[in-house]
Amino acid sequence: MRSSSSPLPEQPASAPDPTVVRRLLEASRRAEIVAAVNAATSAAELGHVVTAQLCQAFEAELALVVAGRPAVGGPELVGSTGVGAEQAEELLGGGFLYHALTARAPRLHLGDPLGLGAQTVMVAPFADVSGDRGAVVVACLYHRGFDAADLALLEAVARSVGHALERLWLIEDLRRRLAALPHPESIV
Amino acid sequence: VTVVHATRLAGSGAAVGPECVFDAVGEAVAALGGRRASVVIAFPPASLEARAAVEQAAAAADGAPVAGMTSDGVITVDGLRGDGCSALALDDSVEVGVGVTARASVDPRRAGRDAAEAALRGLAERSGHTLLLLFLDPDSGDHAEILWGVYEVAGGHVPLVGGGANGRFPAQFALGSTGRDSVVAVALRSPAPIGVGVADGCIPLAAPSIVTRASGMTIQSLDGRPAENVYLEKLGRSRVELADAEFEALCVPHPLGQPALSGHVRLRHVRSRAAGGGLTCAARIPPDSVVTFMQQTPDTIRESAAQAVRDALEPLDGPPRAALVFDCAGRKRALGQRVGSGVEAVLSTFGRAAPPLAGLWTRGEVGRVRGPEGDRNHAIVVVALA
Repeated sequence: MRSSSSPLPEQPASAPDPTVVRRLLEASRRAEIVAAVNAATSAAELGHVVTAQLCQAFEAELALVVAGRPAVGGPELVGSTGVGAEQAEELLGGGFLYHALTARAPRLHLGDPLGLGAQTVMVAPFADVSGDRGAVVVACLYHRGFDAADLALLEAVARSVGHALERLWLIEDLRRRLAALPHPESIV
Repeated sequence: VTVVHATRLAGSGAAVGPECVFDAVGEAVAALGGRRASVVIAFPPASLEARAAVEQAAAAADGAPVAGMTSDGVITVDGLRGDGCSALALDDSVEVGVGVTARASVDPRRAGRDAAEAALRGLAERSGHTLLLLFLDPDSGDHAEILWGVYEVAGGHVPLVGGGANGRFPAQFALGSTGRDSVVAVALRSPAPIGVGVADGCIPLAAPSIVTRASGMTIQSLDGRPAENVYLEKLGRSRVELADAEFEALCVPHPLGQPALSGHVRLRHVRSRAAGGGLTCAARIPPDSVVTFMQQTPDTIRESAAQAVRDALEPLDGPPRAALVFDCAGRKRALGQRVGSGVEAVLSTFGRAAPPLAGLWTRGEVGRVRGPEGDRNHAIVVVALA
């Protein structure tokens, strides 16, 4: 049998100020998501992990990371949560992702610009030094009043996603070039 | 003893005794008044051998598929039954698909995905209100992973409800087979609205902490200190000598909370102490998470039961014609001798005539209406079908 004892007060602390809790949560969520972004070893993994975490953080049903690389062509879906394969095809063929990719600042959309039944959509764009652009999208199927702090959190995540993607694409490109060499093992 | 209730959509039955599954399922089907059952949901007592329960159910179901999980006490339209079976039969106005996967603990995400996919594939391509029932094994590991797999297939438009089987040897069953460590998914599509209410009776007690070290379902440290010490301090019990059994009893009304930015809190049951001053929880809480320290009382538990019913009824366009109730076994334990008052709170909120209804106390609840996550602890989940 084990027991516990310590000389601390016996009255439980009172419930904390909700605003303080909210700020603590934002900081914790930001740290959690950015750590996951930095730990990703491929663009696909990054897209999967970050969209799942964003859905969790915002209690949202849908999230997307979309990118537009001039070298690749049209928008590409780096990763998504809550979006089926057919829906992804439709999204890539629709106009909303072009708008998302050309946005200059985070935006809140009421209604369903995605065509997936959403009621509230947040978009935060990112860009890297080589001119590649992208956006992180979070959408709720119910009406959720996102506020400035929500947008700021998404903007911070989008920035780190942009940096991470640039790094991961460079690595993937390097691997492809290495694999195309006649004797790649001799390089190492 | 059997109890029968019926509407145009559903019939329910409840019984005790060695033939309780046969009696409850048979009465639920008979209550449909000759209309064919599309499915029977049954919660046999875990005290009955699982194979015998499945055979009794199949013998009484008149050819309808039967699915469910074991119980340790059931909720019926006439109150609680300590060691019996409750059953709900839905008529053929409701489309049904059933999916089952085994060995969920090996690859929980895949098990959830495959079961949900099979269940949803069983529905015809026509419009309606879809719901996915999930019957899980409480010992399959972290239900969150199973539910992520389900979510990959079902998406955000399909509510998820259900829970973990109860009893000493919890089992899930469907389509004539039974087993442990499986995922049973039952997809329902109704022409009329389906409401889901998810509620809990917990309120925050103290300032939150940060999970600074955790592994799997064990939290080793909070705020950089042994998690057990911090937990007890926050509950104001740090000076009290507690044996292991007393510690576990303290945990029942005091789960941890994982607050979301929206203000909602997902509860996490603390199962026991862990080696090195840690806390073993019923779900994974990753490092860097914020956790709050929660408390529930009999009053808040009863009020939340009523709230779950109100929320389930809210989207309906008429009186409910069938209901399912998944209530946390921890809440039952917290109510103790007053457990009947929790059931009464559910029934009285339905109004003078509660609809045909079956329910049980679960070990881990499934309740997803918003967001991607549906694995819950210390919650009550109520489904109402119009």
